Amino acid sequence: MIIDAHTHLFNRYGHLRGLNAKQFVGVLDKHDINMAGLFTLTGFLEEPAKYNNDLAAAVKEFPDRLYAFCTVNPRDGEKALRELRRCRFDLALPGIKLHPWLQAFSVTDPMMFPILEESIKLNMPIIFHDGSVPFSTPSQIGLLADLYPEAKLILGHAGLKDFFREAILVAQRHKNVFLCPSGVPVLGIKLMTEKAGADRMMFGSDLPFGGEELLVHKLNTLRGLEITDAERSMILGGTICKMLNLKPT
Amino acid sequence: MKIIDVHCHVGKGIHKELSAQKLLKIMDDHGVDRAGICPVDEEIAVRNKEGNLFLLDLARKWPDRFMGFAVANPWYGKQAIEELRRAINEGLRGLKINSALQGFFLNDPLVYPLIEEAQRLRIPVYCHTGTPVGALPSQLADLASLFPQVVFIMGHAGYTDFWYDVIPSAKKAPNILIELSHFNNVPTIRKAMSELGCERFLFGSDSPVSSIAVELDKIRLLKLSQNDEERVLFGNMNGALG
Repeated sequence: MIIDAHTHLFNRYGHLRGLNAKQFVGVLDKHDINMAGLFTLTGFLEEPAKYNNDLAAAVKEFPDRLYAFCTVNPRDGEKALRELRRCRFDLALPGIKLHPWLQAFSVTDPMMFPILEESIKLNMPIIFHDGSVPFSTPSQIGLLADLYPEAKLILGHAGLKDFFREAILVAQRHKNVFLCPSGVPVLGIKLMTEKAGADRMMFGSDLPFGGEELLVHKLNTLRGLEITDAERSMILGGTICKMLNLKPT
Repeated sequence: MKIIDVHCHVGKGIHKELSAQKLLKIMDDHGVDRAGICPVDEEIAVRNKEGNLFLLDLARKWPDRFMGFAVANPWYGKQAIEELRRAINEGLRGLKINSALQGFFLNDPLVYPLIEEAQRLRIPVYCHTGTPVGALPSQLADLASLFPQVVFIMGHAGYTDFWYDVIPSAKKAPNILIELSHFNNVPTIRKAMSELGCERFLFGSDSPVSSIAVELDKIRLLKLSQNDEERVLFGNMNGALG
């Protein structure tokens, strides 16, 4: 069983063409992936509600294969909280994706605090783009984990290349921090498995960035990793299934 | 097909550990003929001489398999230049700089005397890039444009957040070669190759942080012509060593 816990649904982004829901499922079929977690991309830069609706429509088309995390603009204040509730209750989206680098806010900006509080009330995990200065490093997200120990926080890149050791430390110190090592070197993924535990880790490809080839490369990397099969299975789907109560067929 | 892995670390660092024997075994398993080697964290930052002596020992034991990249922290001033000269005269083949680890901005005039020495010694200079604030492709482009006779290797191709800078940097300084470890976005690499030409790219693994298996998997996914793949895996670096 494989769940890809980090992908993006969009039409066009600069020169990059996205995949529609049907094409997504085609890629999943081709690589024996049971489900993918979709996030927006354009919605980080424009009005989030429209793009949350697109995500929900994609999930409605293939409910057994796709799930989606919504986004909001933390600058929107009360409106952002209403959008979170709409996404949770009307659109049935189980989590939140924030991209501090593209959305241009620091994760510890006080405007984030109500978002964190609402995410706890709604039981929606938040996955962050991370590993990039100046807005979204693992220790910055660690500060949020200190303030909100009940929130479920996922580092969407587990520190990338330069911050993976910091991501491990943050995960060790905060039981509510999870790691999606999309873009972490192979040594980092191995160390994370040893020190933070596979039950805190989830596979993510960042599709369609890097295309199918990067997806294949990341799956090959994970398959070649010297960890136990039980650990590999947690990373490839177990952790995210447990977190979101997914039941892939 | 012959293969040179431009960049590996040998020794025991904070979190990485790789012995020469183990690296040789991995190289044999994957058909890698030669590897550029440098020492690990502490020896790159401060204990340069210990690192270089260790590399010299390995380069002497396996002269056909290892090319040592000497380390010298420019904060040591004249001592760093003497250390580089000694290490190269005794058999190392290049200079490795990690300005993030060594604590300076890659284009700071602090490093000029060391680069001047590399120019006199006619050796390539491998620079770690992709780590803000002081190890960026744009800073390397600035440095490399001041020393057009020196071959600079842009380690890790700027990595994720700085890949936009790679092509303009390589265009600004034609004496930059791009080493691809960790940068695994296959379509983006392919596009950069079509824009800059395959002769600007080098295969490197950054073992043991990434691995030869993982990095070769990526190169194969590029589906280059045999001629282009040969250049990336071998010919370009072989040429740069003179």
